[in-house]
Amino acid sequence: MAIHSLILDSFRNHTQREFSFSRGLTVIWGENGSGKTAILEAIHTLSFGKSFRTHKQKELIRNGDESMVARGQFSIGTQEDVIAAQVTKSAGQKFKLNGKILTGRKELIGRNNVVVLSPEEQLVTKGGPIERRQFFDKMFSVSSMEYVEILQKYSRILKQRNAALVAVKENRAPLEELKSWDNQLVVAGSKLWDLRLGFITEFKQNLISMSNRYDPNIQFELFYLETVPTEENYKNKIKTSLKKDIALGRTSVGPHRDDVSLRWDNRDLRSFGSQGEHKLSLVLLKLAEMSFIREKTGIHPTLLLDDLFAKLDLERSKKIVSLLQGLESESGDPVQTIVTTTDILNVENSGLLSGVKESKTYHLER
Amino acid sequence: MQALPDSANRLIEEFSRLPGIGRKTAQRLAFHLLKTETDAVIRLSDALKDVKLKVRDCTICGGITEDDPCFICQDYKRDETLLCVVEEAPDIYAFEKTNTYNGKYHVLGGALSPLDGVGPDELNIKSLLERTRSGQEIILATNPSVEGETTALYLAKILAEKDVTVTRLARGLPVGGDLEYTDEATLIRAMEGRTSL
Repeated sequence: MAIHSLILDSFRNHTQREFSFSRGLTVIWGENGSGKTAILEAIHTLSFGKSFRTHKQKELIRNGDESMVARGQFSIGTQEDVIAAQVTKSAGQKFKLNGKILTGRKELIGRNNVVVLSPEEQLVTKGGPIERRQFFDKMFSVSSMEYVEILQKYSRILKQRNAALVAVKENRAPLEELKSWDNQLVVAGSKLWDLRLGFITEFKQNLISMSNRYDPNIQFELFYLETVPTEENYKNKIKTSLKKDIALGRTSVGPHRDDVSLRWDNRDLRSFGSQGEHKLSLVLLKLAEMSFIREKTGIHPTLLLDDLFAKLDLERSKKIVSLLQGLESESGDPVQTIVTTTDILNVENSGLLSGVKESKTYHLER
Repeated sequence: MQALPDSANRLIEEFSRLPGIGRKTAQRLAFHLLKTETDAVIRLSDALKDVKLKVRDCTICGGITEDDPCFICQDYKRDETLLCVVEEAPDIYAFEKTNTYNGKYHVLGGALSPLDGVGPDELNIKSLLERTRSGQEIILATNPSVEGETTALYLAKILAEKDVTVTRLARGLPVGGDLEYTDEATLIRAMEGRTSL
């Protein structure tokens, strides 16, 4: 899918505006606070059902207004989708696909894929296990319906089991009921672990080949479980931690506690990485995500680059741009890229515009 | 609304409490009743009162009935060795419409959901255990949701001590469905539950 046009109405600081996008490159430049990132945020909201900057959808409504609307036209081949999001202060949010109201976010997932590279996403390398799990869960969810299903099922069972733990602690439920939840948890958790391990193993290859292309001398690696516990093992672990779990009122073993650690030159990136290493590793992860999703779905996601070239030296910018162009030439598939910047010169110097067949530039004023 | 008489406003208010009925539909219903002849409206109000005053839970199966026990529980022609366990009373009527099931029913009154404070004590499980006879087949027909599945697992476990056969409804492709248009979740489940021919 690619986005053609976007209409924003009271979205962040945009009163009413329409944008159209190139199939290739679209550059949006303007001062801080001119609403550049809001455009990316709107595209992300229409693609994934929520913003990448906030969990509070109401923050998307322009100050002083009652509601906001974002409507985007997407297409792939001859198929056209119109996706609209509306958030009202009093009534909450609503999504429409081709005029039909959707019952949940799930129906949007996987329709139009986007990969965002923004300063907020830096938490993938700098943050804790939760942020990294979210990164992987999101990538695998848009690539596999089965993954979404099992992830949602597991989360639901986990919530119920945690509530059952509390109920047992307070003598409101028998231990036998808790065991039924344990059974469900182990079945869904094993399945989730299997799928996750399989996908991470594949993703490792994408990451290795991306880092090699950037610079064969760097060592950027990803560590996850070698094997997942057998159901028998998993059951035993649940049994051993049962007392502790009841006391805590939450589940201490399972895929919801996974971490994927990142190592740069054989050191833990999160604890020892320099600013430059963090920034570069995020770029590599995101470009590897692009090729992973391309392999799984057959289509490149739209790449949203928020202020990528700020604080990045010219040499690195150029290398990254050539990686990006490599994605296109290898697959013969265009990558729709939308870039924001405060300084158009940064983009021009990086070479991003050269060799691009189709491009479009917007200048936003405050 | 200020302009409307008090009693009309009250009716609209009551209608809009019903599920699936918003303010506008409530108004339309109220105005429709105002135009309807008095006899018909009285019949409607009697029906409303009767349903609440006469209908109660069957003390055997937990289904809804006017006569206790309900006609299904009283029906001696039904197969006593088959007992179908469902979450809610309307599920019974879904099975009855098929005209193929000739056993009896048991209504749990919900499914296990610790998040909503529903544990085994809140469901009609005790009465189920009291009803089961050795040699019976207990068909667990709870919903294929996470809660329904867990409830089935729980029941299977406590029924294991009794001399009964426990079965679970199959799930998968809808009849008359076209594979191409089946949603992924259903296809995945159908694949998991495939049987040999």
